[in-house]
Amino acid sequence: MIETIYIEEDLQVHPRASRLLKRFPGARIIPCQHYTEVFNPAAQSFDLQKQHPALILARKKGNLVLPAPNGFGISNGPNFYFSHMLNCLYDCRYCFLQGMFRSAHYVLFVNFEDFEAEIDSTIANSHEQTPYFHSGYDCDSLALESLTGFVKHFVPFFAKRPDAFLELRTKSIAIGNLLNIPPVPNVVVAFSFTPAETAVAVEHGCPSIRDRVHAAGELAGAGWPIGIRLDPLLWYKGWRAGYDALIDKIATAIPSSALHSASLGPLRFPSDMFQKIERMYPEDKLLNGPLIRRNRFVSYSEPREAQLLSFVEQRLANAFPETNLFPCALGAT
Amino acid sequence: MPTGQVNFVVALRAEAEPIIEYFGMSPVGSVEGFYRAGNIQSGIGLIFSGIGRNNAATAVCHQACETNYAAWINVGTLVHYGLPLGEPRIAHKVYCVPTRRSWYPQFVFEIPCPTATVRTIDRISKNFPTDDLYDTEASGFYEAAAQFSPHELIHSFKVVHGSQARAGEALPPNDISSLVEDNLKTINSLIRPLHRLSAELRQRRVDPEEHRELLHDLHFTTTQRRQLRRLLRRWSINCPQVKVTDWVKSNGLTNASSVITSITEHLESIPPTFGLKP
Repeated sequence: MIETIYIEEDLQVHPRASRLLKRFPGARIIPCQHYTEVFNPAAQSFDLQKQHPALILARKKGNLVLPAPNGFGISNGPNFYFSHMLNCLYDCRYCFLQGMFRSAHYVLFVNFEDFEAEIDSTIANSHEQTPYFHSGYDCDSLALESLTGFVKHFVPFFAKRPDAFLELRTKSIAIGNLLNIPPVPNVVVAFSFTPAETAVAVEHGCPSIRDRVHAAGELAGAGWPIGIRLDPLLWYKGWRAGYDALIDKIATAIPSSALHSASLGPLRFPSDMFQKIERMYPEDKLLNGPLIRRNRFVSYSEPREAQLLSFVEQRLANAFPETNLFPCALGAT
Repeated sequence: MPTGQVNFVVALRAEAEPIIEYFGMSPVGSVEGFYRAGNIQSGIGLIFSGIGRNNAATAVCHQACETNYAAWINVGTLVHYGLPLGEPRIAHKVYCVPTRRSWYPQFVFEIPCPTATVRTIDRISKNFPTDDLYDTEASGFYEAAAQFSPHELIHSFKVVHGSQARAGEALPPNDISSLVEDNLKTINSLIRPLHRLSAELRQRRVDPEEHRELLHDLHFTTTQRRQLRRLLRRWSINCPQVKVTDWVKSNGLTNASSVITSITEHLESIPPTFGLKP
């Protein structure tokens, strides 16, 4: 429940912002000049704010579409990301957002039309290669759909641009707005999974694996291209059985023909982010696991990581022999 | 679990007295002329700053020397154009008129009364250009407190003591005390969550008991102490059933570097057990 909404002063008359304000008649509305006055100043506490996040309505200026980091892409063509939102409803202990931002408030950039214009110009500059656009880098693409209307707005936009792909990356089961419209072949709904036992332990506030798999299956049945994202891969007692069970469950729910791509990546934290996260959650089991410093990252040891990657890659290849598989190496964030 | 600490910063003695009495505080000894009171068992302190943002900032710095991860509340009375006498407000924005800087106190728990923008000016005048609240301390208080604690632990609580017509006129001390006294329950409900948050942050800094024991028995360099602290924390999470000091003894480890190496190797071999008891 949103109790506090910060809004940039010049957005008070923006139609999308006004609609949102009307939805929270009881919220305290606090005007600010620029969202960064509230979001990310020094001496804020991400984890305390996470207990009670506020909503910040802002306008994104500049850098609306950026090249996707190494390892985030799902094609050999150009990959980009854009963030209509910063921060996530969920609280996954491996997520880099908790180390990247000092604030846990949800920042919603309401100037969707400016994102569209920049996406169009990026498509125009892609020189006949098919560009992929990722919307779930700084947030979950679907989790706050009822608030943002992001899917409702951007899926029809991409439906009219068949030469580009949109990836909606999510752990959410808020798929109503997708099921209400015909599937769009160039919009991939990519679900992130870890085995059920780790999801319970480290993906706080997320829908269960069973529910996520069910949602992915429903969308597949409706004709939507589905992505499977096993990133990060987690090492724990019984991980082989855990990943076997997870991949079996996914393969039962999603027919091979519906699978657009699968990707997997190792657990990795940039070292400085890890320090911040560890200070916030000193008793967390994942953060107190057998992690070591490698280059500028904190991750599992190289042999352990290779073991995880090769096992899961093999199982995925067995379950979905035809799929596009994109492993991600250490160094991607 | 360590207790939390909440520090009050108040400008006037008349504002401070009801708080001191309600929370059972006794004098703690003044610093550089700043009167202080406290209730150590309850983790509550108060410093009397005097009027003005510079005084408020100095008072915070003196009080902060003795407490880490404290929560801070600046309690004061002020004039307002339209609000009725005795109305409480918590600042959702503190704006320093002379420096044009803003701060946004963060609400991570339920707030017991309405909120408002508080504008800090150097001298109370008879004309206020906006409908906000005007005081003389909040910005100095907030800027200083943010050097010691996160924004989520810093709040400014104000009680309206008159309308614009009375601006500049001093209210009798007894009247000021009564206004604060009438709002003590609201202040108290602000304190409880702040106490919890302060305790939560302090808990993260507590060293495991075994840390002290090992430091007593063996010589660790500064770097090794830091490594040991982290390893012992990992140990308590991954092998809670075995006391690390017993393990060190039973493995015949007699110097700091062998302790660090052996514990590291041991922990490295233990996979976390999500969903299962270790």
